[in-house]
Amino acid sequence: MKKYVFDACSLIYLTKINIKEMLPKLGDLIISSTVKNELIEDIERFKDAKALKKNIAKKIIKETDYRIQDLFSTKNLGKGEKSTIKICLKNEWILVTDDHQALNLAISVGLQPKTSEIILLDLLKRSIIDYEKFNTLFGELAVIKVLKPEIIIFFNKKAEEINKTKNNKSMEENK
Amino acid sequence: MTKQMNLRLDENLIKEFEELAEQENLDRSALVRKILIEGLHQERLNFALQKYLRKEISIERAAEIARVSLHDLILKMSQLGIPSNLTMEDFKRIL
Repeated sequence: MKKYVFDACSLIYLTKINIKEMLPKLGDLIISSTVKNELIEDIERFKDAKALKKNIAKKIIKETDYRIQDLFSTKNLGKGEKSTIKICLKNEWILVTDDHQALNLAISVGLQPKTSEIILLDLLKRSIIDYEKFNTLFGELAVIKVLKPEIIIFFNKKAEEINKTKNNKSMEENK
Repeated sequence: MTKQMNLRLDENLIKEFEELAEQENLDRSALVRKILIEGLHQERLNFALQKYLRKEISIERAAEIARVSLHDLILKMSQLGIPSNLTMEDFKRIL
């Protein structure tokens, strides 16, 4: 079972597009205790925070008890992002982040991070969602993240390629 | 605990404060305090968002600097039309 370690912004985005039931089909969903605190902050105002708290309580999202000794010294990242990268480094788990700074630090230390857009592509690749569902979810994500048009085109093309490959495969299997 | 802070302000600005305080049924000091607090929150948020837009800090760090929750910052960014700081180059590097 693959293990995905999420930073707070990625989980908030993915909760906003309501894919909490589909995510566990990819693998274990893990967060640091700092990220947990960020996710449930402002719980009275945000229904996403309430939904996340429920999923943490039900262990759909698991809080790791790994105690982080020394975080990166950079002042450009939040504590949640730093702890998430550290956990992935220590355990060789998959990092999910939606931030440029966090992503670049992760790459520089040898990780191969994913973003929420890539998680959606993974769900499509593994047939957890179909192409139509991908388009709906990605459309919602693009609005929430205010994605630039070039990025939207890029991911639409990627999804189209995946869909074509899958269709070709199933046609060959049916022959 | 409060501390006294002396400010020199333009006469017209003081007049504006007095007029608004009267309209809002507040005393002048209460109004100035209220505006200072709101202005400080807004300035902190603007500073954090500028740094985020220049790709100097991450989204979580921006929330820490602005002293708002990440949920709140994501909502504000979405409402203000501030795009995610991830670039095409970032995606090409990891896909």
